[in-house]
Amino acid sequence: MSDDRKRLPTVNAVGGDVDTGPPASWMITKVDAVVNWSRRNSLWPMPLGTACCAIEMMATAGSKFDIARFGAERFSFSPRQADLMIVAGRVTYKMAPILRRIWDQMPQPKWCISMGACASSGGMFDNYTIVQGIDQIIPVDVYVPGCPPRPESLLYALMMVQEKIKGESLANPVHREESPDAAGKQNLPPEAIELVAQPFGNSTRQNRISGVEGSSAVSRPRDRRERLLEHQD
Amino acid sequence: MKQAYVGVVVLFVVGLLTSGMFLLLSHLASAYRPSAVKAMPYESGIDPLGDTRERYSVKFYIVAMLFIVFDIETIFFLPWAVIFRDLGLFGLIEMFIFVFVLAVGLAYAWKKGALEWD
Amino acid sequence: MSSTVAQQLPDLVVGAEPVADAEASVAVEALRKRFGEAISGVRMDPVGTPVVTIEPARVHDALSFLKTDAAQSYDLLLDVMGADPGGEVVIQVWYQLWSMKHGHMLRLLALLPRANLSVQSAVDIYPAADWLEREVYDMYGVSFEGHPDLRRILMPENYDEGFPLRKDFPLRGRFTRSEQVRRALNRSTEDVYSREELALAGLLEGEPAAEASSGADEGEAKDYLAGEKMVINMGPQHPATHGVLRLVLQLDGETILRCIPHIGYLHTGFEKTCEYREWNQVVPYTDRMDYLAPMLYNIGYAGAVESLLGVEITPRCQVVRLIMSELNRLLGHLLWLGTGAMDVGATTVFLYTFQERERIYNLHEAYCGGRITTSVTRIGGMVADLPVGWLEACRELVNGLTATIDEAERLLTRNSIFQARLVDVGIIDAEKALEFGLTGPNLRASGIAYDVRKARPYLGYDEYDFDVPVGVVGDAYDRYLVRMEEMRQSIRILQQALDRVPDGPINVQDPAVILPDKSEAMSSIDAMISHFKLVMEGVQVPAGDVWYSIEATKGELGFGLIADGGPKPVRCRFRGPSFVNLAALPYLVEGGLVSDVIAANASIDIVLGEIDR
Repeated sequence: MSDDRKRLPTVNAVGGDVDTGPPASWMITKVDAVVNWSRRNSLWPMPLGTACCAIEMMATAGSKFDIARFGAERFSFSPRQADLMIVAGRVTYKMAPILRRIWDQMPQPKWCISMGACASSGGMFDNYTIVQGIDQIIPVDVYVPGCPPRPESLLYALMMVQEKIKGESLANPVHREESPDAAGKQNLPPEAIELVAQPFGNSTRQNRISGVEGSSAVSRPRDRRERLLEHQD
Repeated sequence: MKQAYVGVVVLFVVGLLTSGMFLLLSHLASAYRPSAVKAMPYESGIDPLGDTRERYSVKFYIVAMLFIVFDIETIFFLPWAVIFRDLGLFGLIEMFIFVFVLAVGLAYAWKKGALEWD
Repeated sequence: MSSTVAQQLPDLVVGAEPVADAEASVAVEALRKRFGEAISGVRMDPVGTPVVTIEPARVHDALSFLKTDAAQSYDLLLDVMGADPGGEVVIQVWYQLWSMKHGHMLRLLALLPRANLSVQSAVDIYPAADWLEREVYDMYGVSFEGHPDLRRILMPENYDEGFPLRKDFPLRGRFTRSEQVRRALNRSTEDVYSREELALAGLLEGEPAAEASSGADEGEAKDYLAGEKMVINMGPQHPATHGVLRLVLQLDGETILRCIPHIGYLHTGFEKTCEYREWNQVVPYTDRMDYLAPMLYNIGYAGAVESLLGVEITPRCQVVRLIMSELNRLLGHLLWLGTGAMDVGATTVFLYTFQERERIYNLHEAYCGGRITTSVTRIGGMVADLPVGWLEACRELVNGLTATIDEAERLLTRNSIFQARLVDVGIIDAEKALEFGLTGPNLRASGIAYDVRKARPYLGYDEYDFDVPVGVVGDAYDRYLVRMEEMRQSIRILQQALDRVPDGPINVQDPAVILPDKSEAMSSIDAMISHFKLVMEGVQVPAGDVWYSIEATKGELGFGLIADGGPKPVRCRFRGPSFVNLAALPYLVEGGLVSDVIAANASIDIVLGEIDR
């Protein structure tokens, strides 16, 4: 079982060559096997669908891609009966506390798939209103790239979550770690948020707005990040 | 005669044991991490406004009561239907009387407007 | 059953002949006569709409005159938008008006000095202005005097970084990202509910629980068996709100007394972001607004920019765009059908319609590589020409689609449960619908035969044979019937269009507008130079502004563009029809039951992407 965990790179403490749990977990490996098998083959997703990715998620639930063959066709819109939150679509700062509240109201065990570029990193919207990655708000298990990801990608992400569950253990408290003080709070500390939400790539080329400055000629030096920060204030 | 009831007792006991086993196993495998926010009533992620213990209209109660009465009536049909042939004409007439009594009640409720929502 | 068949069909609304000069327009003459000194400019925009610049103080009078005067009768307020053209001078407010009776379009333009950003509200003349003005306030800080409830609509209630669409507001906002996250997660209950809602719940200090204005029980003895009124939230996370829509409902048992929608949970800042993108770079953004029928947005946007550029697309491009428009109309209506039926309980229809949508997605993918986010137009043409065999595949799909629609009709139309859920639910009559600014199938179901494809034909729609279905009562069942028939009419148009695709280039042969063919760019120096210029500098659109609209699945989709001669738009406004349609929801559901909210919401067919933008 530890080989399964070594295969997947993960964000939280599980996986890799770290933390196989307290010494007594060898006694319950068979129990773990049964519990994990039943958990991963009957994941009830909670679709927090906001935008275009939600349509691809609905298509995954349709007959062509059929999420039902993974036991996950029972979409639970109430967090109380869900195991897997699929955040499908862009999340705004207005929606962020609701996302956090709904995550907090899901009982353990729970996992999260961040579907699409917007949920994973803010996507093509590096602006005043979109959260630059929902991992700033809630802990995420699997990120799915794509805009929108094909239903096959979402199913692969579901399979990755299933692999992750396969490697868990009842005796390891790290898997179900959830402090009551963390409810309602952001998932990453402010320094980490500043680090992951830095503009990069195309986001640095956003300092030429029409109507305020001449934007006809290309002037590469003006696209540098210093110029951008100058424009911020 | 008592032989017939052994089956019922066994069914009862097995049922109790099975459901008890499910509850116990779920309890052992569970990860209970309560928090104040988790215990709040779910209202699409927003703080609920107002108390849930407000008075609600009596029409809900009336509908529920009518439902219970006619549901029990339906339940009474089932064992009667099973031994229908053995009871013969006597059983049929007796059931008709039973239904008639309840139909009078239904007619009263209908006339009084208990079946109207508003 | 609402079986009152209209004895006489309403007249098809047809646009009047465009006038050559703005001064010749009936409305401009009348306005000049009445408001002479207050009018500071009259011009024509590229699509033939007269634009009258009027003093902000007289705007309200002018709107009132334009609506009530019989010779003008501008009864539909299409759009109220703000614009900040940059510099320190003014903020513009545009009022776009349409007259059903006379078929004229008109724009009133008010220039508000920064020192005095206020104008009288038009809500008492056009109820549709309610939400539109709130948005202009939210984005620009323009205060509309006399507006009943002027508060933020798209941004969070306690947002104090400023007014996003102003040019001095940075794209990423004024606060740091961690501060924005901290503020987002620290909203209190008072922030999330409006004063009216707190009053309804009896939580405003010093005031007892306010009664919703029903007026029925004035003077009657207090009914001791009545329940208390509950204020609950429906959404933003809800299976039946079609996205992140939040409805605050005041209930008496099952009856809705008051419904207050809250939007903005998907406000993505499209309009602001597009000011930082070149004209062609805006196209991928247009997919993500109405993600149910993305090519309609692509096509509408490209048409708007081409009207500013004065570029005429090739005949082949016209027919291909028409085919894509109708295919996407089917895509959007099939989704409405599937989700709407599922909302009222008919889950099978969802699976059937999604299977058909998968077939249309296959066509999308074969053409442009994307299923949903197609980005299929470029200014002056399309991303590529049709692949070999695409037309045959499309023809096969279209011929098979009628069977699915028939199957859905067999399951739903005469189904007594479906009828019980939809008949006489969410009724809105023609006059009220116009006041609320409804367009599209919602307006047609109330009995007004207004379809932009017939009123102001574009893409050659006047050369095709198709009908415009209208309803009688304006309830949810009529809206259902109208959309079902529209799907059949779309199939009819497609069957004609698929036989009429001419040969020829798909892109305009103008190197200043669209990239030349790759083979040419590799072999001829002129083509390579124009390729270089277009890629490095972008399409330069001459200074001007336009408000251009097409018939999208949900209603009239408008694009308000301002160009300054550069490669990026100065203002890129998207008038999403669902934004205006949703404002009518309280009118449709108040007085009904909770289950009727679901049915009415499904019947007006909204998509939050274009509401919140």
